[in-house]
Amino acid sequence: MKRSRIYFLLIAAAACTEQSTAPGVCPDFCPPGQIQSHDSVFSIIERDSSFRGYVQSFHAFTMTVADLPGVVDSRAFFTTDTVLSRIQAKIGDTTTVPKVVDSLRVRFIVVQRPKNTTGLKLRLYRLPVTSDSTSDFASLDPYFVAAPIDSVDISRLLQVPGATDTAITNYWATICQTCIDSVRVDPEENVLLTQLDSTLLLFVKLDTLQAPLSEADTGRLAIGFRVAADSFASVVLSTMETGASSPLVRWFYHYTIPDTVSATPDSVVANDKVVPPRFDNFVFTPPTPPIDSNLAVGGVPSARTIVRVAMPNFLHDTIDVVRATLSLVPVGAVQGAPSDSFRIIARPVLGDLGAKSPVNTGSFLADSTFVHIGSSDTVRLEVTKMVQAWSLDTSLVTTFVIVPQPGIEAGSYTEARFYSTRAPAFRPTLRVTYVSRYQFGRP
Amino acid sequence: MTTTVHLTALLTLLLAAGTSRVAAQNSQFGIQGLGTPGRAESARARTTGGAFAPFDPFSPLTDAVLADVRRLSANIALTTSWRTVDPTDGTQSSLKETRFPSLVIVGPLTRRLTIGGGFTTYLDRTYGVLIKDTIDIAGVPQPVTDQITSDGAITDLRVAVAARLGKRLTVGGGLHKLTGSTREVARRTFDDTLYTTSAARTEIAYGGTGGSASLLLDLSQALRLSGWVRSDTKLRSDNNGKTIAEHDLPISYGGGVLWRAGAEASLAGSVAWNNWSATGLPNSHDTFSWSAGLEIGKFGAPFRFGARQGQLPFGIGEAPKESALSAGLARQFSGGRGRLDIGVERLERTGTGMKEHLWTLLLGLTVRP
Repeated sequence: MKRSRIYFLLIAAAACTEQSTAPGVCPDFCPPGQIQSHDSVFSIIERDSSFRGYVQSFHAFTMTVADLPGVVDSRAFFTTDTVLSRIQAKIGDTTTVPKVVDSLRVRFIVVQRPKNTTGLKLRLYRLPVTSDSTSDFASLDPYFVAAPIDSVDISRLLQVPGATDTAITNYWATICQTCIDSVRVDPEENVLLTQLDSTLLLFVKLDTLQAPLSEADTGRLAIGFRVAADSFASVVLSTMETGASSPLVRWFYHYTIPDTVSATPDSVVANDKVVPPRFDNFVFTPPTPPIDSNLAVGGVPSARTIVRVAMPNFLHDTIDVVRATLSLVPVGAVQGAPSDSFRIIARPVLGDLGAKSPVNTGSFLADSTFVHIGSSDTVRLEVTKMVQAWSLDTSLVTTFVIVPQPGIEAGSYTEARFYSTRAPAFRPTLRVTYVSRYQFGRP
Repeated sequence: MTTTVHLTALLTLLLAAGTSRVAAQNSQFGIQGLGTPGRAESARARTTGGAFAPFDPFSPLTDAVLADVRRLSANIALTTSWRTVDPTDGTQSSLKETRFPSLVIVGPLTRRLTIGGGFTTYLDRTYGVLIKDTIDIAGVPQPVTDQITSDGAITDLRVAVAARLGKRLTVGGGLHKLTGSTREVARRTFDDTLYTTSAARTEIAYGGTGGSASLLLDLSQALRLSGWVRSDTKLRSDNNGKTIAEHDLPISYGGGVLWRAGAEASLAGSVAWNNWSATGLPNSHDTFSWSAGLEIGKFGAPFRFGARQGQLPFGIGEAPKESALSAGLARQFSGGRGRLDIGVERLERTGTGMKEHLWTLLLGLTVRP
């Protein structure tokens, strides 16, 4: 027992926690060495250039619909797949009967919208089903200036009280199980649901006069969108490239099964068919201007900027980089609706092959910032992680690409232009804040 | 046999733990200097204010006294300190440290010759300072927090021999190897999270050699005198194999007197000088210290009391002063094969701009397998 107490006493003393750090009383009771931070602006950007054509608008994950007088008029459209006008009424019976269309719903997702705009309306137009990648603003303009087939007031829908009828709410809960907030239905039976990511899921009801099932068009539809609002009319819709969030048309129809027993009347069957899109795109005017001596990011087809950095030797091994900021001076403010502000990302490349440099999309060294619409302030892009990596690993390629955020690349008319090294007064600069090597062990 | 095994296991446990914390209690006064000098004292000597150190074979201060040990023995000391740092113009803070300041193993070679060795702390260099400041980056004030820490010590490894030259005179000599390292970290954290934390780490290795000599003179059975001197080469500091600094080390010398006032009482006093100004560092000072102590009671269970006063070698202005009172007791167990020393010390340090107060719990274990 005595021995146990001795063991306990000694082990407890040995296990005592250590606290040896106290607030410094400098300089009298601090180590002589000090941690020194420095900040320098380097003109070490060289051979910067821009290239266009990486992503086409019809490959984008989004399509922008905007009507900003004096800035841009952007219109989106999509075409749907074939729908047969007749149906095989009975299995094993080759006889077909005609479908009688009752109505249809157009589903699309509003990814981005101005939150403080009133009177936000989306107008639907009927376009030729032959609309494709060769269709441009001018060729589609006659259809977009015709009377719309329908219009949905998004602002009003957002103000509508949520439906309380459980028949309605339960039905729409099965359509969108991950939606939040209420089911909002306007008098025209257009439905608005809010998804988890705050995007809006819109179902617009059309009748057969607005969208007839045309045998000549093999049941295909082409629907265009224009937007209107009291100000900053601009919304971004998701495209078929997103997969599950693509625009859709759902046809509701019925048909009659001829009864083989003459004593009973013919039975009527109601059914519906969801038709995926064949193609979607957006067109806008004025088109994105061609590449010039400046640096461009965004636009359609998308432009990217390649920046090469000549790292000075002392940045490699004698310091600890704590912040690196790339400063880009805009040639002018990007015009548009504030909600169309977009993110640009600096990504390292795997190898410097000019315009075809493979971008390291999975790199944790990427950094991003926002380009704000209407702002001509210098855009500051934090590239700390990249410069830190270059500082430590001299084998890395000191080149990076500035690209629009994935998902919105080529999905909008917006494009940022910055001065390049060809404009010495406004050239891109790299501000590096670093900590000098601490002088250890020298009392 | 079982007792021996347990004692050996206990010593091994302390040794294993001790390798990571071989140091004396630290001081803020040592941050700007080479460190805080350790005390070459066992727990027994420490509880007598250090006065018994020249006459205690388990205090690595003198070599001649090793001759008093007539069978293989080992002793280790453990200290836990609660330190209050009280700067004149700053915030008071409380620190805690656990240290293993000394280990001595000694045994006779022949009837007249004894050999011993072990380690003790030469300079403790464990500290941490937290500095809050605001720096200017591109014209914008940026609050930063710097944390500079050093963890480790310079350890004195000793091999010593003591010889009885007659009935009254004993001499001893030792070779010392200064070794050890400190893990040092300098970290700057910015309040603005756009700035990443900068952290630099290194390990500084220290090296040096030295020699010591001492004598014991028994004037009578009750009165004993001790004298000692020690000199070291330069202390070399290496960072990644490159010598970054060299500092001269002090010559130390001192003496002591022990009076056995009967079978159950002993009094001792000692003095020591160190010319730390030889280091050439700014604000380094030569130091003098004295101590007096008393041990009363039976040999197997004595009570001890002591007092000391001295100076610290580093500090702005005049040399900082320190004074301490200590007390303790000891118990032998396992038929004299083991002894446990327990004590407590209250120490105060006063210098320009800073005061420190310490409570230290002292533990010592001696085994004779």
